[in-house]
Amino acid sequence: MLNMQNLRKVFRTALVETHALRDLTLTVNAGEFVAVTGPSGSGKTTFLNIAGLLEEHTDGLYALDGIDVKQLNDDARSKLRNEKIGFIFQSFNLIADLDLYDNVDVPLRYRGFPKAERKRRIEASLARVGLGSRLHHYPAELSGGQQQRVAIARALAGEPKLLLADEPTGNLDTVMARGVLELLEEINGQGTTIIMVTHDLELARRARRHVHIVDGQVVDLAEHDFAPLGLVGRPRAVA
Amino acid sequence: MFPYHLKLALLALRRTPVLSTLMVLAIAFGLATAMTAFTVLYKLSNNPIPQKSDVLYAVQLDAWSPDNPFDREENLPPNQLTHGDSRRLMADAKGLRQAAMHKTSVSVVPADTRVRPRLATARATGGDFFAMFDAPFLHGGGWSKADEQREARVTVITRELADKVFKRSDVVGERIRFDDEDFNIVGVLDSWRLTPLFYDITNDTLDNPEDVFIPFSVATAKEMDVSGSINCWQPPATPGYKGLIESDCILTQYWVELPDAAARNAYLDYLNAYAAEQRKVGRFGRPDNHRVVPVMQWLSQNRVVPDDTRIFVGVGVAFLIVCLLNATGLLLAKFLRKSGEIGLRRALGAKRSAIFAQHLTESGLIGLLGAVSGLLLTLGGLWLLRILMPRLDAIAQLDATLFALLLVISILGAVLAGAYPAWRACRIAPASQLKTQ
Repeated sequence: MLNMQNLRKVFRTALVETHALRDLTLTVNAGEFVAVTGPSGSGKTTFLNIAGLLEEHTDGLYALDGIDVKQLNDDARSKLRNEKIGFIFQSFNLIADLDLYDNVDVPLRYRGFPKAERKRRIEASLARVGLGSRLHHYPAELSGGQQQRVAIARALAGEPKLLLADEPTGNLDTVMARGVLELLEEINGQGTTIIMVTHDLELARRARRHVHIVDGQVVDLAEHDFAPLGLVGRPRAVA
Repeated sequence: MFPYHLKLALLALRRTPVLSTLMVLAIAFGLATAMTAFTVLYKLSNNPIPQKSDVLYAVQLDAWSPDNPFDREENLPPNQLTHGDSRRLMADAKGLRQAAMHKTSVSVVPADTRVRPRLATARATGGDFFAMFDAPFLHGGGWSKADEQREARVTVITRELADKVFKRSDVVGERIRFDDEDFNIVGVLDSWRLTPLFYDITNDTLDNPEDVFIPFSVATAKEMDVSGSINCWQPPATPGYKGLIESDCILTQYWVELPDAAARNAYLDYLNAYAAEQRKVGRFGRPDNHRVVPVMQWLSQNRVVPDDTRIFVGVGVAFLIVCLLNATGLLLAKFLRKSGEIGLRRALGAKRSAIFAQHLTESGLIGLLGAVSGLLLTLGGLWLLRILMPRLDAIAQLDATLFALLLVISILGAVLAGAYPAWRACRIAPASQLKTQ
């Protein structure tokens, strides 16, 4: 599903070069649920932005579902992002003055689906996250957990192959976080690949695979091979 | 996607009503100022008689002083003719139609002695005048050459004067008293405007055509005043009216209708021959500089559009540019404030072109509202202009063509003002704002 080989990302200013990712190599197979952890400034967000085609990498190979993304122009990247990737953000990123129906509609509009198809998908995805009866409520009328469910519905409506979640429970209390995670597990169970960036070790443990990033490099921890963040012994870089 | 973008644009306007109103007003005031100025210029630069402007010519004869040109800067011949030259050209009648003329005035004395006389503007002219200038007859027609030659007391009056004096317009055959003499009404003209009033640039070109028309020969016989400009390079030999009309003073306008270039050339040959003949009796001491000038060139040559009108338009356009730049700044601030949402849309698959189109639609909607408000303000501005300066009544008007043209220009201007902010919006990187949302 996702194949990154010796990926590098360098941010350059007139005075400084910052190496956010250094020869990062990672393969994620279709259907996996991967948790990505790492200390602040380790390059997690840069990794997620590049994985989600929100940023371009400086060097190396990144193939998404077999497509070398370096070759794509901005329009093609937008199209690929729209068709293959769903995003879930820590702060939900719902548009405040659109109701739930119109929020979920946003990616479908850019996909060019006809009205009836959009309606079917919106209603189905909101029903799937348990908000089928609140189509015309506004985000401000919902709890944090419910807002994150809307964001998940929005991500799912386009039936993406890859779901990228950036601290999806970071703004939620424990009960709501558990609910969201169960929903992600259910979605993964139905075949959608999920990559989730998190600080929460409990959350990371629930993933099938745990990837740790330190100084822009991946150290892949085997299942149940968890150590407190920042206390990882000898990381082993893996493909 | 347009309906979707329009829906988002309406939503965006509702989201920031104060800012949106400010932008609409900025565009509206800028447009209104520029459009009011432009309307005045457009009307003043108007072709007053498009269907005939290429066959009507003002005649210029250079019978000015042998020692000094009439016009030092451009060496133009005098802009009027002497009374004697006009009479001679009328008598020779070498054009298809021709009319010597000057403005005058008459006192209209009602039959009912209890009603006070009223002063009316009048034009002494030839019988061809009406056909030459497409004057629209409501009843009757002009007078004949025979009437002219026998100095018949005949007249053509306007519908407005007929309504005032007779309380009806069908008054052909009625008699009307001008000063101390009765005139037989042979025609009544329908409401009529020529903007600018090009046939006499020595008077106010924003005036309406006169209320009364009488034969040129009759005005001469009755020694009627000449209203307008009288210029002399030497004093008349004898005093009084007779001395004036036999002098080299210029006081009459002269127009001729020439159907084609051949006729125009032939007429110029005729003028040169006339000048040569006059030279033999001691007149026309200057080199030949006689001209026949078509309508639009005549207006331009005589600077009928005043320079201050052009300055007014320049100031109006400058103000519009300032307002549009202001609107551009406000739009830019508004769009960049939404950069979180724009980044999100980009992350969810919106192409740059879609973001550009969305924001250009929003700019266009603001532009349309600004344009409509601007047009309403323009109508208000022109109304105010008509109230404050009644003589601008004829030009401070928006016609349908001008209205449509200005609407298109307004919307285009506003869309242009929004193009840069929309372009900046579509350059927002999808990743940059998502963490901070």
